[in-house]
Amino acid sequence: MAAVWKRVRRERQIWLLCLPMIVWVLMFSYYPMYGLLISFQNYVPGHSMFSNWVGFDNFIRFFHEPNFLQIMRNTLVISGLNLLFGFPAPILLALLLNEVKGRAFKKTIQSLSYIPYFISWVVVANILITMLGSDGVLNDILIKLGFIDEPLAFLTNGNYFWGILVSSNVWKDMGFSAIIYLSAMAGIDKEQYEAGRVDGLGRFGLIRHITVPGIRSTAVLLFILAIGGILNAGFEQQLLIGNPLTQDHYEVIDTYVYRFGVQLGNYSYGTAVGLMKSLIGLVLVFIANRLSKRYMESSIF
Amino acid sequence: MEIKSMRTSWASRAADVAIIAVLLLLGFVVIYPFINLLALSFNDGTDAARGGIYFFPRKVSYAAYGMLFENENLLKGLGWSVLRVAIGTGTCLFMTGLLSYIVSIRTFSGRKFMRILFFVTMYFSGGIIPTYILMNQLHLTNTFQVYWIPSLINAYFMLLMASYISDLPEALFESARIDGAGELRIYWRIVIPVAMPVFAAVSIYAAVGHWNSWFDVILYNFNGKFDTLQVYLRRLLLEVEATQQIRDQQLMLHKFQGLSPLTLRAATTIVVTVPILCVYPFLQKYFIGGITLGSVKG
Amino acid sequence: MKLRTNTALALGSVLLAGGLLAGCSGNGNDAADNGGDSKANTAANAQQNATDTAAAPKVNEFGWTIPDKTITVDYYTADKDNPDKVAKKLTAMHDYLLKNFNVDVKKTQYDVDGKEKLNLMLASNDYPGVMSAIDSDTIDKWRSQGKLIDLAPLVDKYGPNIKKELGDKYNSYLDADGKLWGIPRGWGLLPIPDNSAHIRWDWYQAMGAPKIETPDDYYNVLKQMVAAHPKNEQGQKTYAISWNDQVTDNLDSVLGIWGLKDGYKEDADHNLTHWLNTSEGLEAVKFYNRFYREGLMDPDSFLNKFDDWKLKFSNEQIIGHIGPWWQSWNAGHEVWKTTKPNWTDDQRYVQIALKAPGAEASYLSPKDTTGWNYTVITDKEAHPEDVIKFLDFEISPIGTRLLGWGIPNLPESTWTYNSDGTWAFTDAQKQKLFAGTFDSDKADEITGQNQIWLDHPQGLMSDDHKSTAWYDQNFNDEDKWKKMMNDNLKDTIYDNTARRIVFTADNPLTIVNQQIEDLIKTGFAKAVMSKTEDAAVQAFNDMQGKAVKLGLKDIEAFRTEEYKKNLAKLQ
Repeated sequence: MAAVWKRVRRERQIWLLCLPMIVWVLMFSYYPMYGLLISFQNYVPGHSMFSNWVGFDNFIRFFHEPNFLQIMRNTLVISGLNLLFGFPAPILLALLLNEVKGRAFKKTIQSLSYIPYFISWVVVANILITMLGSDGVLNDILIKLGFIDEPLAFLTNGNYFWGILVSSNVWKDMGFSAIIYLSAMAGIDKEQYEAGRVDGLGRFGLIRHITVPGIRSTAVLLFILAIGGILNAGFEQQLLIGNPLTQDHYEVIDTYVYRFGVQLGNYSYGTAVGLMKSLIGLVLVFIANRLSKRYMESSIF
Repeated sequence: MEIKSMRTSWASRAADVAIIAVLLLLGFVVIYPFINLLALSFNDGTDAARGGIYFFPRKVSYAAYGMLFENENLLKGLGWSVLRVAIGTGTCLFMTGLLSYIVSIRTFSGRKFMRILFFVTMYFSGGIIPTYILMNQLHLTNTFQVYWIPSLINAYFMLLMASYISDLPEALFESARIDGAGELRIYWRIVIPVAMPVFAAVSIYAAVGHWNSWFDVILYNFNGKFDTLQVYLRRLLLEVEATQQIRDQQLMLHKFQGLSPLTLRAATTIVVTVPILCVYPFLQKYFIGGITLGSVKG
Repeated sequence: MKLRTNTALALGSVLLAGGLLAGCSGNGNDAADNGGDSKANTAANAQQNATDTAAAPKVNEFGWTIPDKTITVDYYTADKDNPDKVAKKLTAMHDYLLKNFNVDVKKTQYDVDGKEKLNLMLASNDYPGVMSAIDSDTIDKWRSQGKLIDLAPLVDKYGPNIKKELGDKYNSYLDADGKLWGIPRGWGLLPIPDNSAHIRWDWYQAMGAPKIETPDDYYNVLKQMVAAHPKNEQGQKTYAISWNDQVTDNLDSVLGIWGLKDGYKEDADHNLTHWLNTSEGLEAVKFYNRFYREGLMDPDSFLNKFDDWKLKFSNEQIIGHIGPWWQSWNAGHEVWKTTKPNWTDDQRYVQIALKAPGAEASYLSPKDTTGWNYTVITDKEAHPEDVIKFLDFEISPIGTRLLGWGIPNLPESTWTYNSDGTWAFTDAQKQKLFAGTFDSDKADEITGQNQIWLDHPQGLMSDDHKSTAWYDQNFNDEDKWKKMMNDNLKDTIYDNTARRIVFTADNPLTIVNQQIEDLIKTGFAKAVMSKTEDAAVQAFNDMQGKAVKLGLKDIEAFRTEEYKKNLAKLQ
């Protein structure tokens, strides 16, 4: 005890800085968490958040939902694909940009690449539907080139639809996500490259032995977080690009919660599913973090 | 020796060409929707309803922009947006950066505690109702403060920045500590300048986040006094959606008659996007990097 | 209260004396100069009014007793809308009412989902005194927490017109204890069609206008039209029929062609059967499937957003459509008028009825006379009686006219009103309406048409059984094309009030209902887009099987029960 006290005394300057932050986080993040209680209730807005207890009913109900398996499949497939393509894409983009010699060109592409992040899904959906519809530009080109005879149903066939969803996601976020890798690359000591060149490393050698290790801890961090977000498979894009014919391929946990929880006024149910998602995400992050600590010697905490 | 270097440079040049080609293609794919929106926004409203506008306006008209700027609230919205981005990003970066530094101090005993305390908030929140009630009780609704106080510290940014700061050589801070510098001073004098690339990157994220957010505006600042630019855009874009719950056809007809034309929606997107796009080039200089750490190492 | 009256009286008599001396010649001109700067006049006017009322209650030309103290009606309306536009369109009517009625109506509207906003208001105990666009589920929730006040006693005392206008229906709005929690808005029967089949008029005439009565006739005509016009001007393939992603919401009405009402079949004992359990439902699927199989249906029918769909329609890529009547106006000639260089009046769509051979009648337009939703008064309202007084005025025919058609006697007004109570429509605006050049957005802004809609009906007004609050629906007999539409479709309109079913949040069937609706959205689209008729039938049967498994029978039973209850209540 005395040792602890001594430590705190020695670190009092740091703790003093921590204090306002702790107060802030308790107030704005932890205090409202009493709202999670409603997942064990049958909550009606206006009533107290400490009544109408129903135990785990809301959680069990989700597992009994007739489309449960389909929703889980879609969620895992879509976010799995997002991880598979969406995770490396910004790294590749950052590496490519880093290799460009022309300053102006680099700057231009870099600045352009994050434009899609600002185009709202409403607009993206409109453009996608015009381009990929049965008489859209893409089908037009494919038919003229003789690859197909009949227009492909890009947006109404569930399997294509997954592809469209994932690629539009990658397209939208790639440039924006690359920023953090670019900053990590900027932090690499220039002398290392000089030393590498002296050691006879070629262009790819420099990338492999200096650039990649330089962004490794950032990449690991983001990968661990992405694992924790495996149940977040998007929301707005599904609702906007989706249509009745692809609903059995696009319905994911978040869209389901929105439609059956929020829209039908069932806050408790929505919160219960959300809570479950968070718990699973947190457990996954801790596991991934543990593994990464052991094998990659890099971790979040 | 000479042959080898010839080959390398040939391969290297081929790689350069390939990289440029890939990036050019990417550049096109990335910018096309923007070009499309630009073309639409400069087109005549009725004419645009015929479709088929891809790269250039068919019947040039500035009416959409005229209509937009006729609304004096729009400039006010721009003002609030800029203020929000400036204050929100500045305060968030300072606080989150400080926290990131603290949780990166290897000798600090509360390091893991603090990390987890904030990390958990990434996964759990009380939901919309308790948060709304809290804002109401703190009298933050219908104030400008609601734009920056609740977003002072961001756990995700903390992880990004802490990961960067942890990679910095410890000696950098140790020597300052031995010289008797306080932690706040070390943060201000050493951490911020040395970790500039990550501060720049995160400030882009934070700025964009503040610029784009609209839900908290309509939720907490419902009296409309602090409406940001983004709110105007969402209003126009979501107008169509708002009609979908209506069953009465006569009511539907009137809603659709009052819909803003496509060109106005395109112009609004442009007006909302262009200012924030300028942030990137401004911060880019901190990315062209390779800060030499050698001097401090020694 | 008493003190206030006394003060007002005292003040009034002092001012009256002054007023007499100064001369009150300006009084009669209120109505005439209402186009002027109303804001500046307001204060003076209110004072003037106070003066007069103290002596004898002053009644304005609309029969409204001007109160000596400004009545404030500050309400939130839960319809999601763009607040900027709302504010812009409210100003004119607000100023007019303040000046001529001494009523200050403040409307708040947000672009947030109304239900969500109401829940936040309820949870944080921060809500206004009057709220409109409240559905019965929400009323239930608020009432059970004691936040609403019973309006029945107030209506008894201050709302003679409310009782008179609602007439026999009044009792149907009361709960089991005779309490009234909300006053309906947009109620009544407006006898105009909602849905129809659409036919391209000039092409149809060119074909010699063959008879179209059944779905098969429609199919044949459309097929021939596609054959005659296989490509549009831009060289794109044309389609006989198409849909947009909203039209699946109208599916129940389309089934009216096969004699179903609102998607349900009714037997002699008023038992309801869902269309999935009927042969008529299968017929409808087969009807659409045939278009698809023969390549006559737009493959993007279930993908089109309204905007894209409208574009295809305007570009003459879509030849036929079954759905809301206004869509082919909005996407058809209203666009062509400005984009087609040599547009002629008969280049347009005409709305027609279809009836399947076995059906007793075609039921395309269900009319729920209850109204869209309600206006309620909460426990935060300080002067509920004043609000009721204003609602009582609004619901009367003259009140409905004023708030529905907007401010009269302005150059842009749609109608003129004289202080003796006579009125007339403005011919210039009427001609604009017929010519399709009437700018309803602008009219809203200048005259405030239907900007305040707390409790007036959309059905025919009780005094002439002809006028309706929707200005554009008042001359349907004089407008050639509207008349044609209404004549074609007059037998397809039916009163659907008793079928109004409310799925409350705490009803377990609400989820089942949503699940079945989802299933139908996907299942119907898949059945229609089957490559063979057998596959379509198979898909239909699959969908039906799944729906039954989800609990379709329970939904049918619940609906039947509620329906019979409503029938009893309305009788």
